[in-house]
Amino acid sequence: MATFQVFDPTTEAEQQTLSYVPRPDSLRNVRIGLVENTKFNSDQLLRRIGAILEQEYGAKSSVMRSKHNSSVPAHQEILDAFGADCDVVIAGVGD
Amino acid sequence: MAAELQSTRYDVADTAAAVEFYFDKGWTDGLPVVPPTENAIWGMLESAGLEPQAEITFIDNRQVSVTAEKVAINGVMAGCRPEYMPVLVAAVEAMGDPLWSYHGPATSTGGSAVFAVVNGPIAEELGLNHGDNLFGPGWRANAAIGRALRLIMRNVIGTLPGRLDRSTLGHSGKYSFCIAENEVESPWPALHVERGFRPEQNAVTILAALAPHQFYNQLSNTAEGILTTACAHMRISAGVRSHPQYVLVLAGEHMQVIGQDGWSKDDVRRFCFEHTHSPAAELKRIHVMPGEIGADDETAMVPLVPTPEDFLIVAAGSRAGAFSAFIPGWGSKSTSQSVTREIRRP
Repeated sequence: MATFQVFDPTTEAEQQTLSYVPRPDSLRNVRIGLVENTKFNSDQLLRRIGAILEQEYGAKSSVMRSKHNSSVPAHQEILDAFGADCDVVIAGVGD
Repeated sequence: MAAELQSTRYDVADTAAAVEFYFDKGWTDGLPVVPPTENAIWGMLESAGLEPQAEITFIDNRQVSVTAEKVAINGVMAGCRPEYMPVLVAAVEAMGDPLWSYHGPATSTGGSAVFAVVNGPIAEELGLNHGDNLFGPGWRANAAIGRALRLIMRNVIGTLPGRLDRSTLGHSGKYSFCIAENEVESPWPALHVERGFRPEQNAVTILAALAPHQFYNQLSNTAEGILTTACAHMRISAGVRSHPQYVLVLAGEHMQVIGQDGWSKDDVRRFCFEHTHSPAAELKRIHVMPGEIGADDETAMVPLVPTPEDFLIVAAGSRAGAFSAFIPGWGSKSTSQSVTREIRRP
């Protein structure tokens, strides 16, 4: 039977290698960074998480910094700041 | 052209089998597609003077290179004629612009579509509708170009509903949302001319946008009267408090009345900016602004859009009827804004 050819319209994302720093064994005495994404209440949620980590898990401190907006990656300025004064950083997007 | 198409080929028995094959693969928007054959794909590429592997844009957050070949394949599937290809290329370039910021509008629960306005002589040449049933069906170029953009987002960039497209509701503009401007009858400079192009140049402007909202004013024969109605509808509307850009589509009768009153597009913008502010207290009472109502909130006025220039004015729609429409942009201008690209032809 005669056939004809059609073509795949999709593209695979290019592979990239991501490297992770080792996760700490404990949160005791670590400095926590909180990435605030500007969505309603994200600051309150993160502040509460920071407090729990300090009070219940012995974290040394927590500091929150905000992205320019929720749709873009964290900008270099706050990445550098977290790198300078934090051991662990918490980030996430939620509605 | 010496280059070969790189995409995987599949043998199918006939057109009906091909249509079902694309459904089975999950490569459609829910409607049947035109099977993309080699001849049809080459027709698209040659229309834009592009080699298959030419990169049209790179979507950074997805790490996806959008090639001319994939744009052409999806364009054929959407029902495009070869001569539509340069419009697709320009619109896809715009989608990759950091100002449009692909990740947000493509992914958000806010559910935006790619609203495209085509300006310049190409609109007439392609048969793009700027008149009757502006946002409705009936014109191949409008339907196929808009559809192709969404298929490219889905198939090439992986913006799949329920996965990387997390729209809560979405809207029907996500099937297709492409118009032209009524440049011949409009009393004003065309959108692309306002954005730095010459009238004889061809350009496409895209905005991540929510659905169009129609408003009615058959009682006024003044610009101020018609735009007062427009502002009343826009003032508390989808984008309130987040400051996106808005499109105001002025159709035949309204366009004529406003033009005959001597109002320029700048006049329209200034009026609409001034008359779409809301008191902070009201925004708090209707729960779109957080916080307790303070003593100053009754008189603290909050604009709908960041500046008057963030109203994009487009003359389009049928000659008959006292209707126009506004289209709220998605999110905020700081997260995504309209982008215009020249449509280049070899």
